[in-house]
Order: sequence, then structure tokens, then C-alpha cells
Amino acid sequence: MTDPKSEAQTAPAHPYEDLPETAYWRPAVADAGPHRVTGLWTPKFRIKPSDKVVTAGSCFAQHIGRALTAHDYNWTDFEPAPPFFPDDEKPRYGYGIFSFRTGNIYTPSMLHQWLRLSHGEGPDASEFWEKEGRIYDPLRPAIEPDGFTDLAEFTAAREATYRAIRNAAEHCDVFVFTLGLTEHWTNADTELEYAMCPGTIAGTFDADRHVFGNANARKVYRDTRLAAKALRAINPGIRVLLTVSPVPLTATASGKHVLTATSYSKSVLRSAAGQLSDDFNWIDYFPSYEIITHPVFRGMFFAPNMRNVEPAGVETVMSHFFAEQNRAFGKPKRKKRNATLDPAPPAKSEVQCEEVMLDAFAR
Amino acid sequence: MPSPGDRPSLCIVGDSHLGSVRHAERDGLLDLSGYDVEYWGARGPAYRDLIFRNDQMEVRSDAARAEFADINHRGRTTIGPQDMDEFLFYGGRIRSYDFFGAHLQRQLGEGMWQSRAALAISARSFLMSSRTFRIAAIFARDFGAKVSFVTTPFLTDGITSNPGLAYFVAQFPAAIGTTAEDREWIWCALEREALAVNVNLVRQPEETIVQGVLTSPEYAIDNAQAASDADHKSPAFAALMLSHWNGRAPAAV
Repeated sequence: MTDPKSEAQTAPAHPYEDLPETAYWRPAVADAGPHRVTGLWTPKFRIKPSDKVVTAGSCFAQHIGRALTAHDYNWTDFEPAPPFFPDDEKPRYGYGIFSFRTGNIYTPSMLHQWLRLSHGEGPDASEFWEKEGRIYDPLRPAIEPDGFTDLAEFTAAREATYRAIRNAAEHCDVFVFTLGLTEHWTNADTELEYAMCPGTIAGTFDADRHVFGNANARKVYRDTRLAAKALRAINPGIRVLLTVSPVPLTATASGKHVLTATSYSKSVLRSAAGQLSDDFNWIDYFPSYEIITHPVFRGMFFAPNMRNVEPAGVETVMSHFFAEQNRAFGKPKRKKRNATLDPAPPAKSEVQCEEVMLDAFAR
Repeated sequence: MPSPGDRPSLCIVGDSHLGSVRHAERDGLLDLSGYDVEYWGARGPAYRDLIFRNDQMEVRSDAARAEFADINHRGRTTIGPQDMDEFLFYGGRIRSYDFFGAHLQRQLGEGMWQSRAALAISARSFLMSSRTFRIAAIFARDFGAKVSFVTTPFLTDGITSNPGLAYFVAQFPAAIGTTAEDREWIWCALEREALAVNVNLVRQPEETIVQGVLTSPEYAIDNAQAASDADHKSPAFAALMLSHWNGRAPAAV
């Protein structure tokens, strides 16, 4: 028998008595200050440097892919730029930003739509926009800066991206998706969701056909779960990492002030992401949103317009990412590169035969 | 200054590939009698010292300058765009086979696609990555010189001793065995971009191409296998190449 007296001495009097330091505001936040806050994320699964990581979503997702590459992680580009394409031109053409050339995917419903379309399902997506004789894609109107030459190009480009998405879904280990917006525009006839409001970059706005929507937490949860489950159906081993973009809305069509509309949107996205992370052991949430936006960081990572995120913010976010992965799973072991497996190209031969030249011009 | 006589002056500028052109002319495979021809160039290491400065081609180092002057029968150490009626850049360290191999592999091997605009940017970037091409472009676009450009020919098939050839084949397996039709869009892209800066890009003649992206062993240099040389080509190749330059017919091939 246990002595009830001694048990009473060791057991916590209430659930808040014996928690780790991270559970208490004073030591975890107030005393630590913005630069020493740690343990913001306890990752559910390890991301090894060899894991194929795919990134998609709102514009903030591009930083994650770039940082992973810089840290020798296996961020994979399933739709890379053509050979000899200059690096400084790649972003303009949507290359090297995400793992496929979709441009920003702001909403989970849009991600689900891309996944369905790339597998021959989903709404009628044959709609295209014409401007000054060029063709623009309503799913990614900025992807080809001057538009496509003709419909054949538009179709071929779509097929190329569908193929890249299929490959990514089938072959990746971790799918990182950054939720960006709740506001969206849909074609009332076809139910095709647009990347942005028709008429902004291309297309012509038609109030009768173009319908505004602002998703609530239930819809965001459902759409994200549908997209994640679609990925899981294609690739049963896939793990999904959700993040929420800290970048405020550029504009809102909700009729509210853009500041409160931003709060609504981000709160909904954050809530759904957290719920999904709680509900599925293969879905995790990484708090990049909090690291950038929380008052404890005093807005220091935002540019003066309080919208764009400064590089220091991205660096801080990613340093938390790698630190927490290491804390949970230990530092990744990296394989030594074997030169024989990946031989360097032989030096372009100056070849011994250059005496041909001397001989030819001998006088 | 351009030739004062009846014949227009022609400067053939190049790296070690220039030797095959000179040989072709000497051997009577190539008739350039309609021109007052000057050769100007150097072997690879010295050729790298070629620069554009003071509105003309110059050579950076003394040693390289001597080599350029030695090859030119008039001993020129500089040449400006107005000095000749016509320029033909030959070789110029721009390896078109890399461009063809990579694009064919991407399209046929990996099933990838790009728009015409993206291909144009890629072609422009490839051409402009060569200093020689940049000089050719300045001569043609900025000074109105008549300029043609022949890129370094495809590697010679069958030179098994050449590691570069083996590497190329291993890197771009899907490019091997492609057809003229498969290559057409790539030539067109390169030609269009060259033409955009008023440079006439001369294609490698189809009859010299085997296995899709290699040059027939028929056009290997004499001791190619022993020298592990899959890059340089025979005088007969140069004669054929120049026969395609502005549609000129070779004297005898």
C-alpha cells in the first residue's frame, strides 16, 4: 500500500504546478525576450536532409524552400527552369519559387483544385483570359509575364504543371503548404476557383459570374483536410507540414477594414491548421506565423510597410525550424559525398591536338 | 579598313578550330578567292584573352597578343568592326552541343516543357554567356558590321578515348538518336536570338550529324583517337561548314 501522506507530498496539487518551463509565460517569453524564445515547436516527425520536400502555397512558402536548399536539405523542384535560363529571370517566370510552376496557391481549396485537376478531376478548367493577343491562365495569371503565345502553349503549360504536381505528390516525403488567404474568387458557372480576382492582372471582371467568398474555419479545415487526404491517397507515406503566411492581405473585398479582415483571415487559417495538426499524426503545424507576427517580436521582422517580411525574419523563422528539428531528433547525420557516385564533368578539353592550329598557320 | 580592291575583306576569327578552316583552304577544299581573307585568333588558352575594348577586339596579355598577331598575316593585334567588310566567328568557345544535349534531355527524357518566351530567354542567355558571341553582337548590333557565327561543332562520335564524350552521352542519353526534326526548334531558337542582334548563326550541316547530337567520325581529325580529341574537326568538315555559310558552295569536298 502506498502511504497516502507521502503520495500527497509528491503529486502535483493541480495540473499547472509541474509543467515544463515553456508552459509559463514569464520564463518562456517575458524573461527570455524575443531573441531567446525557444521550444516554440515540438515537431511530430523528423525531416531528414535526404527527404524530398515539396513546398507550395502563399508567397511566404518560397522562403522555406530556399532555406532548406541553403541548409543542404532536399527541397525538390519538379518543374525546373529550362537549361541556361538565367537565375535572375527565374522568379519572373515562376521557376524555382515553389516545387512546381503554379505560382502562389493562397487557399487550401485552390491546392485541392490543383491536385484534382492534375489527376483529371475537378471543375472545367478550360477557361483562359485574352489580353492584347496573348493568353493568360486564370489559375496563375502572372506565371508567364507576357502571356502565352496561343492556346496550344497555354494547354501545354498546364499539362506540364499537372505532370509536375503528380510527380511531386507521388515522390515527395514531406509536403509543406503555407496557407495564405481565406478570401477567394470563383466562377459561378464552372466553380473554378481563380488565383486572384479577374481583371486585376488579366481577365475581365463580371459581377454576375465572378463570385467572392470568404472561407470560415470549418471550410478551411475541410478543404485542407481534403487536399491532405488527396495527397495521402496518392502517396500513403507522405507527411504534411502546414504553416500560415504572416503576410497581411494586400486588399480585402469583404467590406471590412483590411486590418480586421487580415486578423479574421489569419485567425481562421491558424485555427484550422492547429486543428488539423491535432487530428492527424501525419500533419504538423510549424509556427512561422507566430514568430513573425506575435507582439513579443514587436513587429521587428516587418518592413516599414508592416506587410513585407524582412530577410532577418525569414532567417529567424528557419533557425527555429532547424533548431527544433535538432532538439527533437538530434542533429542530422549527413552522408559523406562520394565523388565516384557523382563524377564531375571532365574539364573541357583544350586537347592536345591544338597543334593543328599551329600547323595550319605555320609559315 | 575594308579592302580597297574589288574583293571584299573577310576576317575569320576563332580559337583552335580555325586551323581546320585554314587547312581546308590550303588543301583546296574551300574556295575563298572571292575574298581578301584574314584569319585572326589563337589557341584556347590565349584565345581567352580576347576582349572588346576601345570599340575594337583587343588581346589582354602580351603573350596572347603575339599569338594573335602571328596567325594574322598582316600581324594585326587589334581589329575593329569597321576594319573588315565581313566577319565570320568560327568556334568561339560556344559549345552548342551542351545546349542541344540539355534541352533534348529535358524535353524528351524528362518530359518537360517550356514556352517559346522561356526558350528564347534560355537561348539568349546561352549565346551571351560566350564572350566571343558578345563581341560579335556588339560588332553587328552596335556598329552595323556584317557578322556570321559558327558555334563549336558537336563532339565527334566514336572517339572512345575522350572522357568528355562519354560524360556527354551519360548526361544526356535522351538526346542520343534524336532526329533533325527534334533539333529544329532548338536551332530556330538560337537563330532567332542571334538574329535579334543582327548575327547570322550558321547551323552545323545535317549531313555531318549522327546519333542526334554527335558529329560523324568521318569528320574526325587525323589522330583523334590517339589524341582523345572529340572536339576538333577535319578540314573537310570546315569546308562543308563554310559551304553552308550564306549558301556558299565548297570548291570540292
